[in-house]
Amino acid sequence: MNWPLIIFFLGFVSIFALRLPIALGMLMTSIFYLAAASGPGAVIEMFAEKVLTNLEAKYIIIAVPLFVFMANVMNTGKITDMIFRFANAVVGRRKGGLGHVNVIASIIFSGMTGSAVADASGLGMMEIKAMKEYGYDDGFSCAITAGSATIGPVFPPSIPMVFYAMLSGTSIGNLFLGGMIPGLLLGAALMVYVAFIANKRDYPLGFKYTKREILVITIKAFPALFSVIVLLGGIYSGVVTPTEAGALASFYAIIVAVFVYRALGWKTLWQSITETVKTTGTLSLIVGCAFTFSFIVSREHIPDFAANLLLSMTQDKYVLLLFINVIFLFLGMFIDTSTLTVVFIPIVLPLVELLGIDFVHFGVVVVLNMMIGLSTPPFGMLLFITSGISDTPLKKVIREILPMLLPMILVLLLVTYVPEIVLFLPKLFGY
Amino acid sequence: MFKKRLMKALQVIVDIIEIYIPSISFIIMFSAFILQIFYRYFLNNPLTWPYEITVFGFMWTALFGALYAKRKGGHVKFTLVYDHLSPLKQLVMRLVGNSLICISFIIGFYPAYDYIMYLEYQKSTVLFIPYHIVYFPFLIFLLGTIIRLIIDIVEDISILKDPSRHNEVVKR
Repeated sequence: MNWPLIIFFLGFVSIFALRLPIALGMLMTSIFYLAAASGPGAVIEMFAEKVLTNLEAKYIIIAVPLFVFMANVMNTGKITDMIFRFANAVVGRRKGGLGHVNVIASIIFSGMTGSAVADASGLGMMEIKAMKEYGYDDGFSCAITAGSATIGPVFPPSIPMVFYAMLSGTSIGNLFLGGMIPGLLLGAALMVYVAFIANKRDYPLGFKYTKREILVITIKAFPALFSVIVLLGGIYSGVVTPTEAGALASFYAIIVAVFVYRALGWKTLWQSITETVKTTGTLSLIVGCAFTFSFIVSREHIPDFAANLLLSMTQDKYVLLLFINVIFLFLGMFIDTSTLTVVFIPIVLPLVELLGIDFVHFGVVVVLNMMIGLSTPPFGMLLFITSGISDTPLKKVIREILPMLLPMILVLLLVTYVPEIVLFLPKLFGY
Repeated sequence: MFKKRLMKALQVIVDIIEIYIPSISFIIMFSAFILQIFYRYFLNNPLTWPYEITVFGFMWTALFGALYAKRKGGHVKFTLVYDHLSPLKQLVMRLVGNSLICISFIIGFYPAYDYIMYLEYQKSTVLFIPYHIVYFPFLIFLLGTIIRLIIDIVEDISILKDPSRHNEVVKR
């Protein structure tokens, strides 16, 4: 009997059964496994070696704290506020206007940060408050905020895509390009849904701005909107790498928040830094510990086992993509995105390679899938966030999000089975 | 009075380790990035050392930041089973879980120390910083986590010993 593998399996189960912090639980499991498997090719100190050398070598991961920092600066430095006002002036006048504003603001915000949580907790607070004031249902306001926040990590930049690029060796630039059309499609699908609901429930028309007012708001919002150009323009013009773009755009956001909007002081800047440190500690540790975990997973040939199991059911790559989608959607309902990425993606990657599925395509599909999981009951994190920041009962949010998942899943299926939706832009740029 | 002062001094040390060092590491990492971009694109004079500073700054931010995340209860957990249990069962679950992690970290501490100290003579290519200094925060992280876990375990044992507190909901 392979005792180390049994210990590894028990440790893995205990992470979820005993509510252990995922990163610490992975480290614990790895230590117990390495202690039991001690011998050639496995010694206890390997847990430290794997965490440290991988954190040092995977340079792209440094983009994560920079994107997190940028989101924090934007949320505290009035930049988010400006984006909301701009979106409201442009699309707010129509029926159910604030629902559309919610989606458009999220698309713009997603072009600046790569975090759904930052979108839901920063921009979301403003959006839900405005929607409630205008007579929208509490549950719908929260649900559309959660739904639109999922666009964040699909449209570039994206923290989950950084993790995926690191694990699969895929170009982060191509992944970001690949996420653009699916992100916009997701936004369009949500806007169609909002229009349908707004007509059905007779939601109010939004405030109508004059052309002059729209112009003034646009001019005021321009410095905030320009951060998208700094970030994406910087990356695709080749001036900066994706990691450097995170630093440059954060620097730009600080300048705008301090000198243009005068909304960021030393105290709030320090708060943004400490908040970034906390999030960096959480995410980076999960990634670091997952490398030890992945080492054990591949040492025990678990990806081969998973591949054989799935291949024994079918060898059709489209059916297998459906399987993988269903598995990830299901896991995404319960497990945090970062854990899902770093623990489960390495298990299916060999199979993806074997079937000749493009890594950029698969990366975008799996990120889109996990984002839908983030707003799927019963444990989608975005549902808790939107319900928490607006004091809305979770039940109401869940009731409203369920039908909204349908257009989101339709987009997922479209992106899964029409790879050109993802690959068109990367190919245009020479992929 | 002495105990109060001692606690205050300890709190300052803990704040330095968990908040100030990672925050300063982040600021240094961030500044190195900006400097790197400025020198490369505006002065056409690429620098080599910011690469190491950004990587090492990131590692210090991440490892000390992980301690801060533990203090703030920020680490990601799977709460589906736990949330449906009574406070007493949750307490038992915390005790078992924390003890398991604590034991594993104690087992792993010396091998990790041994590995990191072994790197004393290996230096970074540009700034010649010995790797045991770069990786040292990992030991602080392990030690800090062990201490925090022991504090949690002791607190949970005291609740377990007192039946009147068995229904106490602990948010940790």
